[in-house]
Amino acid sequence: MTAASTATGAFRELGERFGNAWNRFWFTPADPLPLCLLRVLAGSMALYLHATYTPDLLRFFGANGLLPVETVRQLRGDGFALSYLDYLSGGTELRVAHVLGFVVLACFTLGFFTRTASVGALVVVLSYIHRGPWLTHLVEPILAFVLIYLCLAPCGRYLSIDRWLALRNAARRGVPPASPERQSVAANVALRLLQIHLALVYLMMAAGKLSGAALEAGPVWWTGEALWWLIAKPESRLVDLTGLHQHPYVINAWTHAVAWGELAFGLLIFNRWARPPLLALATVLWISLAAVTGFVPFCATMIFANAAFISPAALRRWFGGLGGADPGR
Amino acid sequence: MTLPSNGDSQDALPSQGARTAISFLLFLHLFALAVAVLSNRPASGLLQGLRRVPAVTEYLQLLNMDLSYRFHLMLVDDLDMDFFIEADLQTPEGERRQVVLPAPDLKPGIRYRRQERLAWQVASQTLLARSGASPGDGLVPQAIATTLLAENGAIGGVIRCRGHLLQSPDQAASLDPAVRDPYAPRFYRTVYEANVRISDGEVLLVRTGERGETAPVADETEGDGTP
Repeated sequence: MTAASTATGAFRELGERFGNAWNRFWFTPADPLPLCLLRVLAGSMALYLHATYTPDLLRFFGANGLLPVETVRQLRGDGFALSYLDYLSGGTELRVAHVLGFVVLACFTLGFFTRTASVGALVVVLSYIHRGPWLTHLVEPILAFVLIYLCLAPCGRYLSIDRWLALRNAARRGVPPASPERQSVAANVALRLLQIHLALVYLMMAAGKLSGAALEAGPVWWTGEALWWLIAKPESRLVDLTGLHQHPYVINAWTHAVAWGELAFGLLIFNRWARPPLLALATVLWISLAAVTGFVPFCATMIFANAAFISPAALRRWFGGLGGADPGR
Repeated sequence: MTLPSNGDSQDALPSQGARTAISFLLFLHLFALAVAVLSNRPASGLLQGLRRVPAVTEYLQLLNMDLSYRFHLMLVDDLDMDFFIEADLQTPEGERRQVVLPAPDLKPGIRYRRQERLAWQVASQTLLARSGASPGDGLVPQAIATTLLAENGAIGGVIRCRGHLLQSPDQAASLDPAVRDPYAPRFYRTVYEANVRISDGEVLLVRTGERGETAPVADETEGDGTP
């Protein structure tokens, strides 16, 4: 056997192994239950954000509002940040569109015509983000990508009105209900995309904190002071923890836990043994950050987005008493 | 609403052709995502060049994914503080009104946060303009002033963007109440200020003198003396 043929064989084997691993990673059918749970949680968050626009709708987006369409276009430049709200400025038009947005988001959250509603919910959320880019902060980018991936998946298969209607119609006709097809390739693709995107976000957040030290005013995430400066923002915080100035080691430990916890999450979350402690750590850290920063919707979204890493079997154990066994099976 | 029970039914695996097509789309999506996170900060010519791959930027903008996701929360830089808009308005009757955006008691918190982000945007544009990097300096204050004049029936006044400086641990531990109080005048700094008037139906803003840098931490001489 020549060296060339040996090398060719080795490359072929490497290619086959990579191909098999790729197929296993992306195309192994998965249970859509985590995505169905995410649909309910993300839909609820989208509904909350939408509802909080209601009192300020005309003040922000009206003809003489704080964000005239022309100003927004001028500052964000030409691009594909499309929004149907760009074409509405009258009070009645905006109110009607806002109510329709409510209906779409409610359908999505409850799982009614879920496939169509998931695309509609994404359009509604993106339209508000693109119409008022300076009103958005940290929660919207996370919510947007969660909704994007939910559009790809059968996220109405469980915990939905669609499923309830299917079971009821089957019972009326006296026929066994259609199989819920628990495992789905589309669910796996959506889950994998969500997991990769989320791990990347954690990595970039850690990079922003740790590499920012070299670029910006002070290495506060390295010196352990960052949490103090977050605590020191009086308008933002939910809880006044300025008394911690007497306990600098607590501030230091908390700061390091946030930065290094994010880094560890991004690097190790795909390891099955590291996953449970990392999910628990992330939950504790996000709750603590919510208290200090006041970014409650953002922290809540980060916590529930982590559900993409929880095994469907564990979810079924936790929620088993809620829905019971699927009568269709 | 129902939940699944145990079982092992599966959707059929996609055909080889479908898997190839899906893999290609996945590659494109992940490539675009990598471009977004790598090129949204000061980046090399190569990374900036990747943004010019046809349709990548448009795709990312459309899905609101053209971001670095470097949510650092706090670096103690010039913009790491709470900002608000303060307007002293004058009505045709000579009455003076002060309006603060966001109102301190605005609930729920997300509504407060949105208006605070608008004030943050004014501060950000102002600082960028000082470095000559902001083409749109003044557009957001103009829109805010127009709205506030209309809402209050005013004909002119002064609009300011102010930041709330951060208190150091030493200041929080100080025995002097004026230093220990985070709401003392020393902890506020004006970043942007403009006189507002209406001329021929148009709202005009005339910037007043430039204020100093906005280092977010108050020292012994910080603040501009007004709460």
